[in-house]
Amino acid sequence: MLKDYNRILSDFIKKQRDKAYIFLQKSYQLEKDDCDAVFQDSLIILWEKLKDVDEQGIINMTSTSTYFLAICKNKARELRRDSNKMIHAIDDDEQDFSRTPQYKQENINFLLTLDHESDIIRQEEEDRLHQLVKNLPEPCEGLLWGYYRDELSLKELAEKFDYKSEGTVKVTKHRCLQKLITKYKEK
Amino acid sequence: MTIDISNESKLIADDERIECYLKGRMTPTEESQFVELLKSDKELRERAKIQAQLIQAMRHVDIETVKAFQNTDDASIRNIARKRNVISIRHWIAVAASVLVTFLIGFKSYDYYSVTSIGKEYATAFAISSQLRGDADTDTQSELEALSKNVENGYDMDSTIVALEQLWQKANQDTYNEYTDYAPNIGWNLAMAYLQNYEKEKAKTVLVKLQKDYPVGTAMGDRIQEIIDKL
Repeated sequence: MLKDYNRILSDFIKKQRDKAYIFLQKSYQLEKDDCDAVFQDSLIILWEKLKDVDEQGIINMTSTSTYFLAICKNKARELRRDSNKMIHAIDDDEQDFSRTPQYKQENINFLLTLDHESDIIRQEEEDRLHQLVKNLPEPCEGLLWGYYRDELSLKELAEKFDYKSEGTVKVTKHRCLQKLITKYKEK
Repeated sequence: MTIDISNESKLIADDERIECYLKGRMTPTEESQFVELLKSDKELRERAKIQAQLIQAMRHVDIETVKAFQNTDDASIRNIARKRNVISIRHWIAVAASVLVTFLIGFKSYDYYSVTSIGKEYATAFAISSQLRGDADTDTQSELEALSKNVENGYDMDSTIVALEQLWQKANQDTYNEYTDYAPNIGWNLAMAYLQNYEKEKAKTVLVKLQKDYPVGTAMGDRIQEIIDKL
């Protein structure tokens, strides 16, 4: 079991590293050494923040990926603050990543049990989807995780991913969902 | 890929209703009508169920990730966080070794040198800045310019390649978006980045795709052919 957790952690870190470096270089024009420092500090902060969170706490948080990127952002601002007094960092503790999920658990459960499948079949379906959501290609990963996990509106997604309009996000997100459904149905 | 627009509009409308249901935003009457419909409409039921599963799956992925963090001690997380530097040192050792091998063995390293040199030589041939059009798309332009500069200077190729791969994918989507017009320049920069990273086959794949739109006889098509001949 411990070995699995090592793999999960290293997969998460690898993915976040790629995202974080692109973001830090693009948004804060950080050199590679500074990116290394921000990434390392942020990872340790995330680890500390997650130490005592229980399952419900995780559901009531934004996604781990969004949380981590926000910590990186704050660390980058802190770094830049030393060279530019106009930028002020927000202390990590002041940032609030908790929220009340809008999706109703009882409605989710109703849909999950609508077909009266056996536990084995349901588990197989869950595992298949679990693998798919972990390996979504961009831009689908950003859009689907943003929409279904972080519960961002189309407008927020358009701003976050630099889309021209909510309409473009709506169609792109829909096509991403279609591709996911097609893959999910491939056995 | 052909897209049936009318069916797409219907499915988008279905998804909006599913979302309303999942978020409890329907009136009791609307909700009971929707539940009845789910029983008779197999396609709607399937879509609704997958979206419920999707929400659950994403939550489970996060729970799994947090548990992985919670099962890691202070020393291990610090060690993992520093891994990039170790990889970086390994990378430079590999480059140094390949220079040494150039003297000892010859061809293989000569190939490495030739391929990466082509990537550098042609990096500025179709720089993104040459296509930018003044006032529109400032964020997109800045992003593309920064990546183009990285390729030009051979800076941080791993991250630059990841970013360009994503933009190349976006630029080639069926739906028109902010990257569509820049597709040739994004593709060119990606191919040059691959060459600088000694990823010859990936570079060829992008160049061949570009050459379908820019055949020999066009400025880009001629340059592509030159490169392919050299490779």
